[in-house]
Amino acid sequence: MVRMRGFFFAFLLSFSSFSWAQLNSHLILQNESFLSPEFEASNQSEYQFIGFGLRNRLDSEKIILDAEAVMAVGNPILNYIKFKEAALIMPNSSSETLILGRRKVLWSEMDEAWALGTIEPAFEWNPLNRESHGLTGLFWVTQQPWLQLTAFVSPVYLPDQGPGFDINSEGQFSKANPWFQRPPKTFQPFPGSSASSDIQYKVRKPPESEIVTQTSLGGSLESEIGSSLLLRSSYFYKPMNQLALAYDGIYNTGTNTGEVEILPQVGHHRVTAADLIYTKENYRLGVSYMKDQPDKIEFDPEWTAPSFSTAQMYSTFAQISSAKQLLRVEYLNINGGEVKETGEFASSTRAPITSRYPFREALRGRYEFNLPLDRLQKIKMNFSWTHSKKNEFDLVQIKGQYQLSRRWNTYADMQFVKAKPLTKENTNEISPHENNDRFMIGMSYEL
Amino acid sequence: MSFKNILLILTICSVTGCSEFINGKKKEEEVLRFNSDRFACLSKVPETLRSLNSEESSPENLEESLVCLETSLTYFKKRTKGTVPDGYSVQDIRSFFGNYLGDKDRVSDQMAAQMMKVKKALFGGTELIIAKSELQGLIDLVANIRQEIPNLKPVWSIMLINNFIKPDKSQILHSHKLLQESLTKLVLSTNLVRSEYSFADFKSLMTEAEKFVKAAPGQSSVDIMRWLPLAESVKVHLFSDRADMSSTIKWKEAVNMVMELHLIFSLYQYHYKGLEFYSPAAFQTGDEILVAAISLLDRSWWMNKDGIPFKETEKLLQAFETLKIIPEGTTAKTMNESYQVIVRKFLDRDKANKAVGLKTLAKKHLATLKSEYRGFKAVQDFNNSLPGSFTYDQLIEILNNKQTVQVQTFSEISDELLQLSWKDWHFHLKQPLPLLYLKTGELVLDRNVKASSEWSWDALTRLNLMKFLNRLLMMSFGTTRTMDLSKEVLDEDSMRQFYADFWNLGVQIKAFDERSGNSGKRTFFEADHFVYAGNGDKEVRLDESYELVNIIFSAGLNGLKKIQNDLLKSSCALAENDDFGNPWLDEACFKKLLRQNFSRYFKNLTALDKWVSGLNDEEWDYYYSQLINFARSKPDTVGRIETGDLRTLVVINHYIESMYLKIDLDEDDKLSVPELIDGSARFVPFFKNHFKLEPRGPFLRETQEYLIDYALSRVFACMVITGEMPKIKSCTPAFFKDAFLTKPYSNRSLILRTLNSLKSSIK
Repeated sequence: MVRMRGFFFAFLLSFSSFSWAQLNSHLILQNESFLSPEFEASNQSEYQFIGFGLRNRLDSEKIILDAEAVMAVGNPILNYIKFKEAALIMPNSSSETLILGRRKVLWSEMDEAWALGTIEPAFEWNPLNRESHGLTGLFWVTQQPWLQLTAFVSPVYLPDQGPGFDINSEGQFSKANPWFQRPPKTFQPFPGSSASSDIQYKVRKPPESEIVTQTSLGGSLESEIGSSLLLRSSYFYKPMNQLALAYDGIYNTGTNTGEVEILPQVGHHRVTAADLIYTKENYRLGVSYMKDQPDKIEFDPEWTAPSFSTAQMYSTFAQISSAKQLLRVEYLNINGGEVKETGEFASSTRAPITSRYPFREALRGRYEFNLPLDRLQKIKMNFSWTHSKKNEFDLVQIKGQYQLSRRWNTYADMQFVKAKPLTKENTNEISPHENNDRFMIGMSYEL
Repeated sequence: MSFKNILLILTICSVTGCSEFINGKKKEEEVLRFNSDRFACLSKVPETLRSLNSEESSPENLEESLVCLETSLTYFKKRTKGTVPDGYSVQDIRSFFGNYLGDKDRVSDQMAAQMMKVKKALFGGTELIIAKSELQGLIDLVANIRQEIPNLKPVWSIMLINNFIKPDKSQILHSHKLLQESLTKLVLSTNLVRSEYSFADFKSLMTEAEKFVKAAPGQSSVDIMRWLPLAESVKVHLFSDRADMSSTIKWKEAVNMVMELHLIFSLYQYHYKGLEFYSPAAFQTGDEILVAAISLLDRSWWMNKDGIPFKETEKLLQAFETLKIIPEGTTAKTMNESYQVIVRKFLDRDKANKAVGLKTLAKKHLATLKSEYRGFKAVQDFNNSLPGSFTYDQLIEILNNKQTVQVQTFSEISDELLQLSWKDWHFHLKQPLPLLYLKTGELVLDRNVKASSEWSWDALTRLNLMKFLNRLLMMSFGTTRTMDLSKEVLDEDSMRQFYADFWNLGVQIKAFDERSGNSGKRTFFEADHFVYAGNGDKEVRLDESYELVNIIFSAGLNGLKKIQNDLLKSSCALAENDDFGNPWLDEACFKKLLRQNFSRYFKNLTALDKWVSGLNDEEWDYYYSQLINFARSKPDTVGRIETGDLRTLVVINHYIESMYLKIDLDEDDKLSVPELIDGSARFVPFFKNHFKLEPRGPFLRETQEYLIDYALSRVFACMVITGEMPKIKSCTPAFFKDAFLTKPYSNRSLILRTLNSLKSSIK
């Protein structure tokens, strides 16, 4: 893993050297603090990060790259490298383009806006701050005056990128990454037993080639009706971006420990999506629909394994924007799509360890503004409040950026969560981080 | 919006509303659990096992519990592992139970070791680890037990000896057969045949199990511990202390023997318990139970080797004593003493050594028992074959017509001794005044007994039992030690020895009066003089002994108990207890009730009853004073009556009636001088001896003898007529009156007065 990360760092730096003219690179330095008195997700509540990013600014470039490598000082488990996009653009003609690599495409307004990870994988290093990344493969785009067709095929599968984790020598998930939701650490072997045991975990990793080599097929059709209406529909048959986690355990009577093994497996699904978007001057309204139909995954019947049901997802949004401000209100509702665990460890009270969607219902309001102070200095702010009645949480996010000069930027990011505990009925990815209220401040330097 | 406004919003947020976000709740720890549904049923298992002992048990419940056990064990096997490859070490097992119960020391080293021994015995392997394959053996055993349940379902309640059903004997036998087959199959499916598991190991396991259970808060001891000594003793009796269980055949045999015990208990529970003792049904089932028990004992492995040591039987009796299933007041020690006396003197017929040094119950003893039982059975078969009602004459006719006596039971025993027993039966029934029992159990002493309408199965069965007890007495203590009782006699030493041998037991069951010491001499005297057949010849022969045994059992034990119970129900009982542990009786109350109920208490003594009912108050007072004076064991207890007094009172009435029947030849219910002179023969030797009257010198010895006899017979007559020790002053008027005036007669009051006089004179 460490070797792979070193490789990616080198890869990113090589871009900066040979394509300096097309790419912007930046260094970042940031501090992250957890504010809640009940914070206990990791052993320390303050982290420092150093990072390096690469991004090209224009889509017309032949190489599209949006990548970042970040190292946590003294805490390698929090290091990450993300490739939001890394693609080679190969125009065939004025109306036809081939794209090879990782490329973000707006397949579904809903998937993109909520970073659901249904079509495009999500980057969930911080699950409260999800973002969509591009699919990886071969894209074929043909554009007609009123129609755009995008087809996608890939033999490669890169799933959602979650927080890093580590299993220590005692078989326990280390308490090093505050964003990693650790599975239960206590084992109660038999009902009525007054004693409980520790759990020794082991992840049974399938060969990486087995995970990565998965075929994806899909595409979208986008049509403008008149000047204001946009109709988009997409269909995919591809691996789910979330790994299905099966697990099984045995109780060691001699050592009084539970020995639990986790087996990640890849499942496929069919996704049908449709958007209807109305745009008029500064207003933008839209409704989105998505149907997510997972295939049945075959697990060893002895294991406790998740099963997924079909989800019907609806979202709507209304947005008003100007050159300096944006106000957007949006709503998401997911029906079905429950993850149900079956097997020896399936619990009637505990939520499954595998999840598909960050939440099942939410209303979000977002306000952004861009305040130029002078020719170089400006302030950008982004406020959002996500409220879920069904999943019983509130998430407030405030991001601010103060550009000091052409090269220097400071920024801050705050997240506040209020949530009820997870239950079998209320599964979401926000509640586990209720006490991860966070304040981050950082600065970047454009190279 | 200015930058200031933004900062203001952030500040407000930080100090007000955001605190609700920041101050979250501490997360509850999540727990990974095995699916508890698998074990939910386990909670019902102990209750199901306990219910096997009750009427609520059902095969369905047990089946359900076994399925649960099987599933749980399978689950345990699949979902757990130990520190050794594919198995568990002893420490793993200890650790498991320790963790499961929340007390690491709850399963001691010893307990774990004992569990491993059981494991090894049942499923093989070592005592150091339990392999998963051995755990599978346990699962298979549970499954096998479950698979046997459908076979046993039709006989379930019979098998568990539930009281709410009344199966017939064929159903019990069918149940026994099915259970035997299932048990054999199950035992042979384990490794037991090849194991060296001993009962001592089982005891150790139970001891540890008790400690284990006791260690739990609020738990008392394991009930099975109380029964362990008995189980061990039974096991030793059947299979010896070092049983060779090394072959399938041996195990099958052992299972069969255990199942026979079950059959015996079933028969007792269903077809004997609760029955009236003297009923054909009780005797029939009693016979089956006894035959089965003797046969089982006969097949005992120890019996077929060296015999069952007395010390082991003492342990068995001690187990009975601990469980309080021996007669109240008795101890294992005295029971064992009596048991050994019976084996040495009754069952061991070796004349030469009189069983000195004998230490075991051997085959030959069992052969004697079988032989005697065959004698009893022959008579009982005869009794059972009689019609519902019959007269004495019809009885004798049937008896005479019965040419051959055959008994199927224990047919391997020679018929020779059977004939002796049969001969005794003829002898007893054909006595001039045969004994007879009323249906209520009292011994009839009546001149017209042969014409009585009371001849019945009950009466003959009681007589048969008494015949058996008399054989026990004579064969054990007879002077010649022959089994032909027509040739056997008891002397004074025999009776003394009887009392000496059974002294402790007799005192404990309150049949003997500890205060009076060895009563052998007195009992011998009573048998030789007071019973109807008594002849005073200083030897107790079969007829005398038989009558004595009947009177002692009928009057001294059975009759006394009935009268005593009746009196204790009345207001006569005092607060203080006598030496027998029964309440003293108020004498005035007793005297009144005795007269009121005399006809009921002594309905078997018809002549006495008739005579007492004719007494006026003065005569009754006199009779009572003589009676109680004789019966009272301590003169200083006037005003109170104790058990010993009452017993003597009842017995003496029987003796007096026996003598009356013999002496009152003209049947006028009074004794004349000639009748007394005739009847004096049995007492003359006693007086001769007492007064040391013997012919002196070599001359005319026969004449001297005749004169002494003549004088003593007159002395006896005088004594009984006057009720005093003979004196010339009192005898002369009596004989003069008899010769020339109104003839004097003696009656029961005067006999009692005579006995009182003799008692004080001899003392």
